[in-house]
Amino acid sequence: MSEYKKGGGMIRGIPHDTIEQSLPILAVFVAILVAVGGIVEVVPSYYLDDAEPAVEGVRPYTPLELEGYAIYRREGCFLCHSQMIRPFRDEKERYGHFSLAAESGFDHNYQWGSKRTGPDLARLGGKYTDAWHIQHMRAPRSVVPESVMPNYMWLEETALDTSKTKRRMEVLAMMNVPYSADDIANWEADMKAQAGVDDGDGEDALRTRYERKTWEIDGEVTQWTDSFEPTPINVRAFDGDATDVTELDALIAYLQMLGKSVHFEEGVDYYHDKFGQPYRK
Amino acid sequence: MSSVAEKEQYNYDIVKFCVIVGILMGVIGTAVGTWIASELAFPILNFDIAEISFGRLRPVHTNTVIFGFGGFLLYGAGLYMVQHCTHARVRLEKLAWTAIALWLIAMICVWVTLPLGITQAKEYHEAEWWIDLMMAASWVCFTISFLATIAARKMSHIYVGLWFFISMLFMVTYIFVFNGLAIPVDMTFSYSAYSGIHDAMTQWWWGHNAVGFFLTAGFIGVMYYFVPKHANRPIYSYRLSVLHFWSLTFLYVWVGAHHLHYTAIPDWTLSLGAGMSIALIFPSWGGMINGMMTMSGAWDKLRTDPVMRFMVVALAFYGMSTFEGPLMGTKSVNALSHYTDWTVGHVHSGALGWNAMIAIGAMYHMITRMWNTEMWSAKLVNMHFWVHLTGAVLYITAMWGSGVLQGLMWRAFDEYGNLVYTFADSVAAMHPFYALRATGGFLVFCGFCIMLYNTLKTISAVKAGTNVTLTAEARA
Amino acid sequence: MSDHNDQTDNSTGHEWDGIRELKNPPPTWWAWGFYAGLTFVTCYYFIYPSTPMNNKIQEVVNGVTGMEVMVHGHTKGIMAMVNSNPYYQGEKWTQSEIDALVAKGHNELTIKAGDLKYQDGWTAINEMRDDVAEIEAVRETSMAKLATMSVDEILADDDMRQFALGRSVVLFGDNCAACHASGGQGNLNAAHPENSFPNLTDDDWLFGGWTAKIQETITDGREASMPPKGGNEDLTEENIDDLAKFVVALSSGDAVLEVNDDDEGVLTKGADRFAGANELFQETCAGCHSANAKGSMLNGDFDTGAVNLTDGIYRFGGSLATIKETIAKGRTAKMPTFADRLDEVSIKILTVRVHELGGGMAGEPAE
Ligand code: HEC
Ligand code: HEC
Ligand code: HEC
Ligand code: HEM
Ligand code: HEM
Ligand SMILES: [Ca+2]
Ligand SMILES: [Ca+2]
Ligand SMILES: [Cu+2]
Repeated sequence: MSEYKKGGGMIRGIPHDTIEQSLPILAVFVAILVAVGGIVEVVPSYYLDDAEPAVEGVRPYTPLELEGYAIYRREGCFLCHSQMIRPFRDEKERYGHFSLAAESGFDHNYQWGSKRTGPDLARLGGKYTDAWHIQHMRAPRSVVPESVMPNYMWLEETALDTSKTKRRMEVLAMMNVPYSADDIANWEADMKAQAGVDDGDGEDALRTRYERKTWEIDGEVTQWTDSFEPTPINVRAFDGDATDVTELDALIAYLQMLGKSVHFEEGVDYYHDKFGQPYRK
Repeated sequence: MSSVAEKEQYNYDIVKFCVIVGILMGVIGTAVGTWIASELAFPILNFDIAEISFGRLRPVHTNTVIFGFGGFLLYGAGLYMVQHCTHARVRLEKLAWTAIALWLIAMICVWVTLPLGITQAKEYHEAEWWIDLMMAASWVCFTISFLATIAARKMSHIYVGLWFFISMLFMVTYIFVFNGLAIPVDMTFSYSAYSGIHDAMTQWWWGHNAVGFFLTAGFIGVMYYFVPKHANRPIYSYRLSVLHFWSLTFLYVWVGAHHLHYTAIPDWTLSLGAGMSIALIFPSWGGMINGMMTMSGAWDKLRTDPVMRFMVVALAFYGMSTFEGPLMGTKSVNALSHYTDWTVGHVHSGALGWNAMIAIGAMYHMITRMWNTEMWSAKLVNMHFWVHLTGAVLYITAMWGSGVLQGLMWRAFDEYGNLVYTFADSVAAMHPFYALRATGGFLVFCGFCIMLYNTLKTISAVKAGTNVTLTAEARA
Repeated sequence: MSDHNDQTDNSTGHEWDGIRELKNPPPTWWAWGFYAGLTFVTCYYFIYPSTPMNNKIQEVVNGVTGMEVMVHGHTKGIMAMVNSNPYYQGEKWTQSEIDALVAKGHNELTIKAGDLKYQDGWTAINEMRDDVAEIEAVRETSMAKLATMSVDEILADDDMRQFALGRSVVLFGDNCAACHASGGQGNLNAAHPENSFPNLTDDDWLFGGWTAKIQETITDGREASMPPKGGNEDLTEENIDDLAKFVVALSSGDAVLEVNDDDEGVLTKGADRFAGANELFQETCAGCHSANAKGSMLNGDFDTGAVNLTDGIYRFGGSLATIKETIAKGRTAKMPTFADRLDEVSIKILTVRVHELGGGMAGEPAE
């Protein structure tokens, strides 16, 4: 025993022998040690205010887009598509301005992805027309012969299940996504209006609600600058059929707004808003 | 030193169950893996069926191989070695059985929910909140039973293999719970408690350490028992065990950020991840060295014993993927490899080379010891080895090829300063590699089928009394 | 106890299920590697931004060392301190830039003229700036030249045309090929004719194949719409059938439509069979497709996009059933606008490519 202690038991002056013989000591040491790295890396991003500055234009999804996001999640699109443009010259030319933290600030959970079997979609909005998306979701290889993306023809045939929409908004509101009580109460009218199934009556109300410049997050009001014009909400029959709200309506509504919210103005350095010296608080 | 009588006081039923389910999970997981690999090569195989489309089936693959195959191996081999290394029968057996039952039920729920599109959409954490609860409950039950068994050990010291298990049990509890925090909308949908960069960091704190503790620390623990035991040699260096255990445990946790290089995560976080990734090479290699050097004096076994070969080749792959991983963890290499198949190649050099091979070796070892028999066919074990190895090498090389090609195509500029390839060009270029990968995967799947067949034959031979029992020397 | 027995060999004397541990030291190369790794990570953390700092710690550090540049939210790495570091000496804000921001409504600016723009060492974005600058330098002359040239001038200049065509490959492939196919040949969709996309390689243009028109199309997008039944509610099934057959005949040459001196469309061939259809056509369709059915574009109207019905080239498909569907249901199609996605030079480059695809028209549109 004694010889053992001299030999293997002491490691650089640490009585490892004691640790090894006591389950509580070993367990507590391990439990503490494995917590350190995570705490140092994950926690500060919540209090370092330059990690995720608010950027004008970023708004929560409309009810229809929110359902589109859910379908995007459901189908596992993020397993083939990233939504995170890195600051590289090739990505800049191919996809556009690098992604900002704030752009996914309301995404519970984030959809950055980790694999690009298909191209990045962070700035997809407006790149193609609805007609193209309809055809592409139905049969990707009919428009892009090289594609390996599955066909999603059931989306245009499936009526959107809206039984969860209200609850979704309520849950997100609990987590500081700035939906007002008014937004939540009017989810159904807004959804129909956006998909073009209500003769256009609800469109103005929808626009007032989602093109606004005042957002209340966690009791704090964020007011965008007067001159900032929010990107107009897309309102139309996304699936080409104005009589119904289908899953495809929702998905295309979502795809068509990706990356559209922030206006990347010439001469404004979004980087410094991001981590460095914020040019604007 | 333990007598047969002593061995019989161990609870083998629970281990036998885990091993058989584990092999089944291997068969199913690689079947699904081969299928999704084929879908990428030949998209027609999606058959326009929502439930089996790539995006829905891929998480079925990852969950089945990691939590099904990996999970049952860890539970089974964990319970086997904790009994052997404490000379005590597993404590709180009902709790241990509960853990296993819950895990299996959770797996079945995963098979049903994921194809239906019910997912949290977090990699390796796709199962919805109520399945998470089952898995967490299972994990806690297992942890308690496992620690209770260690507490009941018949010797003063705790074996190094068990240290690694302890670190896995704690870390996985932390990360699984924190990453899983979500507010349910209903049974089929929940929103993560985090958003944007916070969600990303939490996700990869989980994602990386699921690799680091579930697929590495746990499996290193397994290695620490089965390699010396099977080679019948002492562990090469106790001091190395200590050093690499503590350094691995401490450092692994820091590197999750390398999954997010060049994203909107602040630079400083990413540097922390990149730096530690490099520092992690040698702590990781500690396990490989200790395993390999333990073989000294027993290298001849490699020629005669395919089970030993599985274990040693597993260590080699482990060494390779923990060298590759840190390289990919640096900013400049990751700039090329991220988003490409290189990552997938790296994953599978770890998964097929390291995890699967050490698991298979441990499983063969346990089967022969628990049923006290030789395998029904030694030839088939040998064949399994070669089929698996060929498949794994095909897979990995195909993905290196496609990954590097993809990365280079995306960033290629010609001498006039213009991009050379369209994205669609890169998709088209992947086709041969995807076909090759599917072929490699199919071989690995065949290997698992061979293993299943051989195992079932072995067990029925034992039942029929037609088997060859182990020699006393082999049993020692 | 079974774990304290045989100590004759070089073991710790412990044993678990027959497994013993030797007291060998770790291999020296491993130890060196291990320490090298730790050294590396330490250096790395000094070189790169690495350590998070909360406000308190930051104040203390800055107070002691006077290194505000180094520590702001997190340590910035030594590159921020190296005076030759381009980022450190980087651009400074000028008053006019700040004024411009204020004019845009950013009135809560905390920056002053003379503040460094990039008060940091290595950052991902700074790295990108370098890389972008490097590649832009390679193509600087060509791009600068392109910016000053019109599309027609580019087409006339061999070198610049070649450069533009080279650069257009990926621009076209990543932005346009999804609709117009990689070779520009478009996409005729038999199952869903409404989702067909036009061929850019033929001589048949909806909006004009002159460079000016192509450039306009790409910049602003296009929307062309044919109302159901040409807007004439009274068309019967039978009428539609007649019209469809007439359209086919116009392309096949069985019917020939010409404009007489009174600007009326009269049949010079096939009058025996298509007189009735032509009457309907002149009444309902000619407003857009012109009296001679050669479409709006050839008749000097470049915005309507009403196609030429006499050339046998179909935008949505030439089967009788499809044509009937076109007439009965109408068609609306859109080409997206690229003004806010691509810069002017890129659009010029694409114009060159589209013009060179084969069907480009020479000269100026006669407006
Ligand atoms: C098996 C992998 C895979 C899955 C799953 C997948 N995609 Fe794709 N996607 C691709 C590939 C490959 C391309 C490139 C070729 C093409 O345009 O089809 C692509 C292209 C796209 C594009 C065109 C992007 C562009 O800029 O050209 C969109 C939009 C898209 N996918 C949306 C989706 C959505 C929405 C889903 C889920 C419902 C999805 N994808 C699922 C592989 C996939
Ligand atoms: C989302 C699909 C889509 C994309 C992407 C697209 N186009 Fe088009 N394009 C169309 C459609 C549809 C038309 C026909 C418009 C109509 O019929 O109203 C068209 C028409 C055109 C025309 C006019 C053809 C004529 O006969 O006058 C040109 C030129 C053209 N596109 C060039 C381009 C270029 C260059 C790009 C890439 C920058 C591009 N298109 C991207 C769908 C697309
Ligand atoms: C308001 C203008 C307008 C009127 C009236 C009109 N068209 Fe059209 N037509 C168009 C336009 C514009 C297109 C092309 C649509 C597009 O590209 O989006 C078109 C396309 C067509 C096509 C498709 C040709 C192809 O290449 O596939 C046919 C056939 C056609 N029209 C026939 C008719 C007939 C017959 C009538 C009368 C009953 C008629 N059109 C009345 C504007 C009109
Ligand atoms: C020191 C050891 C290791 C380091 C530093 C490391 C590092 C990395 C890096 C940098 C990535 C790529 C992240 C990205 O670009 O998206 C990655 C991915 C991955 N690695 Fe490792 N790796 C190590 C060992 C292993 C081992 C042994 C396995 C065992 C299976 C493994 C499994 C994975 C998996 C599953 C992923 C994919 C994550 C995703 O879904 O994107 N790694 N690793
Ligand atoms: C027959 C054997 C296998 C085949 C054919 C196979 C195939 C695949 C395919 C096609 C993917 C998707 C890659 C992509 O999205 O491009 C994948 C992902 C993955 N597989 Fe496998 N696999 C096999 C075995 C395994 C095993 C045994 C494990 C683990 C122990 C494993 C772990 C994973 C992981 C973690 C991922 C996710 C990778 C990432 O996100 O980057 N696989 N596999
Ligand atoms: Ca991944
Ligand atoms: Ca609709
Ligand atoms: Cu990792």
